[in-house]
Amino acid sequence: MKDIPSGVEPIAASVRARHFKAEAVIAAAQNVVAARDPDLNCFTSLYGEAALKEARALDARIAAGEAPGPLAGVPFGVKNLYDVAGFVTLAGSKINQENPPAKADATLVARLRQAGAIPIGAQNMDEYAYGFTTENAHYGATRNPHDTRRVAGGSSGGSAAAVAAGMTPISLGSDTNGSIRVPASFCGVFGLKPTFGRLPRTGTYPFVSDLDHLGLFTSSTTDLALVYDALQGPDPTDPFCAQRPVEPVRDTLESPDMLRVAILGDWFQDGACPEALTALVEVAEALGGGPTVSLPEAARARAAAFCLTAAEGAALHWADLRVRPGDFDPATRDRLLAGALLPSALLIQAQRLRRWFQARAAELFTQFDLLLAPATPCVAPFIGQTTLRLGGREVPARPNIGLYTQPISFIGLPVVAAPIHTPGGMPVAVQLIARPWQEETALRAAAKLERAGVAGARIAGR
Amino acid sequence: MAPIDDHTVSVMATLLELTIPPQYAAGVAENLQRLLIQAKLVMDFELPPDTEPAPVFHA
Repeated sequence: MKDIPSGVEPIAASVRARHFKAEAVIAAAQNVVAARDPDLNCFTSLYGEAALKEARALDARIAAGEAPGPLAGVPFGVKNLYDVAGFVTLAGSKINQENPPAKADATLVARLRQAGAIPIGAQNMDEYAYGFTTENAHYGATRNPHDTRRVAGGSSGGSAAAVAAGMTPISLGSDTNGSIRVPASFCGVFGLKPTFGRLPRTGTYPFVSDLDHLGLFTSSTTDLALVYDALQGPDPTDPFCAQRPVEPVRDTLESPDMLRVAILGDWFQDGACPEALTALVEVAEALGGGPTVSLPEAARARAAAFCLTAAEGAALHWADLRVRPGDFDPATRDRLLAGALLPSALLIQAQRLRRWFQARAAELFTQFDLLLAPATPCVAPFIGQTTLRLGGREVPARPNIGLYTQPISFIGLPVVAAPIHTPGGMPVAVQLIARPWQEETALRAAAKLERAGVAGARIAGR
Repeated sequence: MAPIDDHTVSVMATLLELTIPPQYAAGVAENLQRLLIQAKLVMDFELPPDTEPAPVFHA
């Protein structure tokens, strides 16, 4: 966006002040997409003239003296499991191409539009959000903007990569087992997965209803907080959404309060690559240091999330699995079919274990405000890479990328993925994990790391 | 744990009136084996009887 400022707040301020028209901002974003997306494959559909028309309408409102909202004219992208009125919600699948266009926006899309932001396109993902790499058999792989030979992570890969490539300053994603935190780590941008139940999922294609979280990517903590504030609020049409009021965080980022920090050991460091462990140490030191503690039975928690995901995903797609399995992405299909065969006693036990594990985390939070863990055990693998070397062992890549994220989303804790870049290397993120409903704590820590120059997003090619 | 083969997958699927085409059976078996290794971790953990599932989970 030549001459147009980067970042959500500066863009919105310049549009409100009429230094730039929203139309020019959207056109500039579309030009970046046109230039970069053929190489990166972040988008599966673009809204083109519809987005420009929306921008012109916003410009007219501003000219008429109306308040355009805190995100005036800011372009955003959405993982293609969000409904956007007038467009088909693919959820990364071929099957959903047969569905009619969405009649209404997803709640979060509507809230961003209400705040003045403008959607410019839908972004690539793993089929039905079941994956960590965004290597989609139907729509191709999204390439990592920092090294196009590598994956962007998943399942919200197109969303994270679009921010990392400077195409959109905001992308909306979803995270069931790590699908925001993993691509934030691989693409080196900030990601926020709020507390389970914080942001309503109304109008998004589900995956695992009791594990699905919505969240977002940006290139700064200020933007993360500002957009998160615009997204908050209850929604009675999502039965899992908590009836909590908006709890604004934008003006709390510079609070000087000290945080009691601990580093998760054991499971959360076993097998981690040197880059991930170095990032963890740097983050811990910048936040004042803290002891290494254990969150017990994390391996079993991860196992429970792994099994629940396969079984509940299978139940959701049961009808199509029975009559048209060949229309699924092969990687998704085989896992869902296997999930359909799991015994019911396991699923009940997994839910009971979830409650037990939640209590262990709550015990840690009586002593600490923030827990730290790597977001991924490795930097972004290469496209097509089937195995990872973790702790000297060769393991299948896809199921193991989410080792450190799955136990955390299993109990719904809010997390900011704080990206750490090293000169000449690939980025990797650290999870800043707060107690339930304390997104503010994680965001405040992320802002402190950003101010200290420890964490920060890097826009590739800029 | 005994290895899961195509035949086992087929028998289990039959109980659910689910037909798994033969060309997918090996992939399903591989994934089921991976899931059952994880399932054992879950099932082997003894939980107090008063640990109930939370039907609405708010972290």
